[in-house]
Amino acid sequence: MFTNLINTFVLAWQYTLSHADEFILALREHLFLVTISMIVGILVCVPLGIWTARSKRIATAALNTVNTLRVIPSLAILFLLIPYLGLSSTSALIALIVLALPPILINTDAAFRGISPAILEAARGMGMKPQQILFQIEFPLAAPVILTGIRIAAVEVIASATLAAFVGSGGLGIYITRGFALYDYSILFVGAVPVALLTLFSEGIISGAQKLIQYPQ
Amino acid sequence: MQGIVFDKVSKQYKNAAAPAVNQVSFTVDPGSLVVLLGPSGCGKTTLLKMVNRLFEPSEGTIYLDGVNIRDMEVTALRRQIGYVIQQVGLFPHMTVAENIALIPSLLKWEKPRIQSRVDELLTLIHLDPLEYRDRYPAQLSGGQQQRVGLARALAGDPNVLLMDEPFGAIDAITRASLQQEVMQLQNQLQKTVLFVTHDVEEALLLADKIAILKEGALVQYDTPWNLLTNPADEFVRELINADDRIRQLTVLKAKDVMIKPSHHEQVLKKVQQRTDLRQVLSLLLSSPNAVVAVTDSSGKVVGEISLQQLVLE
Ligand SMILES: Nc1ncnc2c1ncn2[C@@H]1O[C@H](COP(=O)(O)OP(=O)(O)OP(=O)(O)O)[C@@H](O)[C@H]1O
Ligand SMILES: [Mg+2]
Repeated sequence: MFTNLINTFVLAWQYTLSHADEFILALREHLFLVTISMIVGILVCVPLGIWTARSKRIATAALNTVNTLRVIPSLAILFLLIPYLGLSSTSALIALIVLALPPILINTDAAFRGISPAILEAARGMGMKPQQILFQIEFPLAAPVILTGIRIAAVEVIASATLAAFVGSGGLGIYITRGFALYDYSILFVGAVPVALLTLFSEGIISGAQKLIQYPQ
Repeated sequence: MQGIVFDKVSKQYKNAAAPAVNQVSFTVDPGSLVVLLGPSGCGKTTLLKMVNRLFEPSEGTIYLDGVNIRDMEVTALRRQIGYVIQQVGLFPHMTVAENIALIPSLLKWEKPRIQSRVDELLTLIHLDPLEYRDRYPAQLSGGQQQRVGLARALAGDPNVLLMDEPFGAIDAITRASLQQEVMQLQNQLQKTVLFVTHDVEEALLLADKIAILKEGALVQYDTPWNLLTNPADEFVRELINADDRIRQLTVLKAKDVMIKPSHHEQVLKKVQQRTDLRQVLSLLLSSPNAVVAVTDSSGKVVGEISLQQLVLE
């Protein structure tokens, strides 16, 4: 069993070396999908979350929407989009963005909502302008929780970007589908292991950033 | 018109049956400490927050040094008013120094000036700059946090200070020492202070004048001495417990009852203007001629007290 596993790894490594050009392309496609959907997710959800945190009605509407989106499996979204957008990386990107939205929005909303009213009152009372309060007080205080949301989104997006292979937009998923088709675990590993490593890497980077901005509680 | 003037100020909250503040008029003299006193819900916080425009009055006008505060830019107004609240509201992601430096940097002071101001204020509130400058609020005790809150409010050298139950959440012993510090600071700095409390002892101890509020209306505005000796009605009499004479002596100060100095002997025992009357009485009882001299902070004799001044007509 154990030697089998080692063997599979060795085979996977050899496969990677012999398909180096293809692998690097797949990795780049994967990173492209992840980066774009994370950037869009952050650009949409952080401002939206700040807004929802200030208004209860908007918050309920927005959070219900993303929670509904969340229960639809990414694969289903992908297949629903194919008739409209075809087999394209746009379909894959949309499915991934939908996946990235909820954790970032929910955490941004909670982070801003959780800031003590006394702190905000002190800031206003001492004559800070709304923009100064936002950037000098609220953002730094909300950042750790927002980063947690970004971390959760990143983990989901990195894993789910493998689905892009189903719609022909490449990514590390091609090795997973190929491994299944050929019933060859070593090829499957060529996709799965880098995905796992990317996940760990992104978690490491983000928790490092969180440590950096952490203040004594 | 100097200091803070309230002119028929009212505040009606939406959906509230009665106004939270009702036709309140009085003047806070520059350099004096006025306490807003009254039971919970009587409108103290509402009245205070109208001064730095966290709330706007529904009626009436507030003047600061003769200027209608509505005619001032709201952030400019707030930057010249120090604000201290019970929950302190220090910024937890900033060090003590950064918290204190915030208003000076909003006011665009030069870096070196800000730094020396931070150290000066920490020294003033009895926290060693070297030890405390770089700590975070979470690394301070409650009393130390409130001291830093006070230093932060004083940082821009405002003429006016608003304090809303600043020591309400602090244990009795620390509160007493903070009260002493506020008195010392007030002797030194002579700010125009509006101080909210529902602690009668604290009010009598700190106030030059006390504004007593009841259901949004101003019931009496007077010195501690006059409130104790001439309460306007039963409500005031009961609120400040005007009949307990010994208690009065512990909260009233030498300057409340002193008369013009007439004795010139250097042998008189001396007390400070803010020494409480119980200590004065104790000294009087042990002085051969039953007179003590009252001195200002520079040691100059400004008044005297004999037993007669402690007796009510
Ligand atoms: N933001 C608000 N909206 C509506 N009503 C309010 C608001 N703030 C205070 N009130 C009401 O106005 C009245 C006066 O409240 P205020 O906070 O000024 O009292 P207070 O004297 O400071 O009381 P406490 O000693 O408990 O702090 C109360 O009846 C209160 O319920
Ligand atoms: Mg209050």
